[in-house]
Amino acid sequence: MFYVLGLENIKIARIILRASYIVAIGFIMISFSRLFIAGIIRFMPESAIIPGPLYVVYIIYFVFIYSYASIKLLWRYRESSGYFKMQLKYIGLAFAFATVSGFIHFLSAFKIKEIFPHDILIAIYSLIMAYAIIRYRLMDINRALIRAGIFTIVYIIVLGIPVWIGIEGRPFLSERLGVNWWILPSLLLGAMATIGPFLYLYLQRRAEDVLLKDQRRYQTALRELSRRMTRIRNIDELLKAIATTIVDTGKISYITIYLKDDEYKSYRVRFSHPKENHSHFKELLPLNHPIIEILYQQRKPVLSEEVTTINKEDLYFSLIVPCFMENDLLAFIALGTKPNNHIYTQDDIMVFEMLSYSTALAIENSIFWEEIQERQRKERVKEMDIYAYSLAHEIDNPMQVIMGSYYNLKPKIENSELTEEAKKSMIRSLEFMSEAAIRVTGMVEAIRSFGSRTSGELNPLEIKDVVESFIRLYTPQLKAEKIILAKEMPQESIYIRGEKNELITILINFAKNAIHAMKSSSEKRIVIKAMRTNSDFVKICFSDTGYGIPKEKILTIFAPFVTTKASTVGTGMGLYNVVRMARHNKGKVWAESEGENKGATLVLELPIAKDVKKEDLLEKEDKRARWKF
Amino acid sequence: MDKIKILVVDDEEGIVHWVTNVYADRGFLTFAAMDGEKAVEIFKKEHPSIVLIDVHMPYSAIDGIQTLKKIKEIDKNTVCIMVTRITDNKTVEEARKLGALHYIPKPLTMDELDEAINEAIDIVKKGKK
Repeated sequence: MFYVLGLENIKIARIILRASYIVAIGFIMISFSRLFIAGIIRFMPESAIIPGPLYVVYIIYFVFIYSYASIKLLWRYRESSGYFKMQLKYIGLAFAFATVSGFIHFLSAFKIKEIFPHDILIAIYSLIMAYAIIRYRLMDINRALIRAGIFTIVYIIVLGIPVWIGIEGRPFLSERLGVNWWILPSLLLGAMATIGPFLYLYLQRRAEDVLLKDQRRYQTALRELSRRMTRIRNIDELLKAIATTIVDTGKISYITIYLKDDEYKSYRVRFSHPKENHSHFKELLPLNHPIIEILYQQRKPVLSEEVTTINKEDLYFSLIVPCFMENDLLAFIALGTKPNNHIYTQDDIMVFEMLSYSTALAIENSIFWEEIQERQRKERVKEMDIYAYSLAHEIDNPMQVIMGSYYNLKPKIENSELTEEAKKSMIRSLEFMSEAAIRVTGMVEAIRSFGSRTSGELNPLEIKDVVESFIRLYTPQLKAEKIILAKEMPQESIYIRGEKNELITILINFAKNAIHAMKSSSEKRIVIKAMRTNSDFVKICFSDTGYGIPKEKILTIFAPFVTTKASTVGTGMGLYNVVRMARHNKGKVWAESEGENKGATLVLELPIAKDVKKEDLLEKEDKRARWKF
Repeated sequence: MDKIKILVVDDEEGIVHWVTNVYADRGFLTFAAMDGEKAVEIFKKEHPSIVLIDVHMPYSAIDGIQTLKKIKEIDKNTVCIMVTRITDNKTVEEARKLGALHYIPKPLTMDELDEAINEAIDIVKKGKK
């Protein structure tokens, strides 16, 4: 009753609740008077009571307060959703048992036989409530028990000592104080009763400090994080800060943060901690996934018990915290279990809810910041492109003049009347000039194509085409190193969205790494394999027969300034740039190796663009083609 | 028989000098123009049968494609060869529609140029017969 009516924010419900307390206390006080229960019949044939005149008043009171609370409960139940609804369902059920039990008992007072022992119904009521408390967190059981315990102990001492003195010390006190012996225990009782509540509150606070120490600590840490995180502008750093704070301070088993990805029309894992825990979530969840719909409905943290429709293989979680920005679900945080499988209390959930607001704000903030930076970068790149292009043109034409002059002068010298030796020397000089010009032209071409490389746009591509382009471009270098190249391509057409030049550059970096790793291998072989990882991703595996990667380096190989090569050969930036480019193409790179001297496989994984069709692919352009009409 | 006339249009003087010189040495009558207007002017006067045009001439009042158009308007049988660094599909398509014979990407090599010019000469010779 307290639970149901206490929820109501209406004045009248509160007044009724308070009034009912007073009435109840009144009934307790008269419960032994004959006005209430006139007598008791024992075992004739069953025990029953003979109602007194106030007993009827009591029944009216009972019926009124139970009906009122039941109506409120039903009303609330229909309006509420999710977790709260489950709580109300159980309370309602327990309530029903209590009511029926009450009625059966009342009827027995009027000589109507109990059709079912009402005590059993009372027991069922208690069991349901106990179940709901544990399963649906009606209250934090630890706190409730500790409070009740402290209360009992404090009052046993406070009331017990004066009474004990009164009983045991009576002869002693009577001897000293005579008839007024009772004054001392009474004064003591008064003093103790005054101290009692303070003592109780003090002990309770101390107990909760101990009991909730961990919880308070991490709640403080999360609040601290909320304040701090709007200042973090990089989205990855932000998510990392959130994830590590939650996991480290809350000792929560894992955390996975999904971010809305408009390009792929889904929510995608942007951060997961700890890293090795990969089994409990899917990388991509479509926008219409049941969990997304639930989050949109509830708009607040959802416990796993609240949802039964979610496939645990899609996402396994204990608590899921949505981050809304106005009506847009920007992100959500899936949390694992608390230490020792402790439940998430209402307090926890409230802290996470607060955290989710600041998280949404911080995410929006950093996405905005990222967009600004991206725009600036694109503008810079565009400028560089124009510059590179005009530079190329300006250099090209003079080079063309030098080459042309060679073509012009060579026959003239040959046909002149100079000595053979002089002709030869002059032609040799001309050849040097021409070759140098050709070299410069080649360099300009490289700069120009690098300029166009970073347009930043992700275009529809076919995975096979990307690999083929790389092979066409890089076969001469592989041949020069005497490396055998094998490829395994999927039968079907798999489409992605990416920047072709960047993807080719990633493969070139893989190849450079492989060439170096195989410098002293007896068998030099590269296998490029393209295949689906699952329905969402495709990967290009690049295996070599080189010196492999030692186990301790396999995770750091893509970090900046890490190199497997001797320090004079590599800058260690090649594979790091690969990571950057892969990320720009919404992909991932990683390395696999069985160990030293067992070769290595570098993997580039990209999301499949399911909406791309063959006709979306850009026309193949071959810049060096000669056109004859 | 009259010498075959070749007009070379390019805003880079060194290139014009090279191409006109090489083909002059081989017995053709060559003309040079450094911009589109000059090219049209020479074309009207000399009626060359082969014209080599650079598409990209930023300092010329009319660019290569417009020059091609004007020349083709005067005599649609003129054999025109386009030269450029930019090979975007739109320009290529435009040149094709206007009736250009070849489209050679820069940087030019003697072999590529010879191949295109020889083919042009064949066409010119057939036309004369």
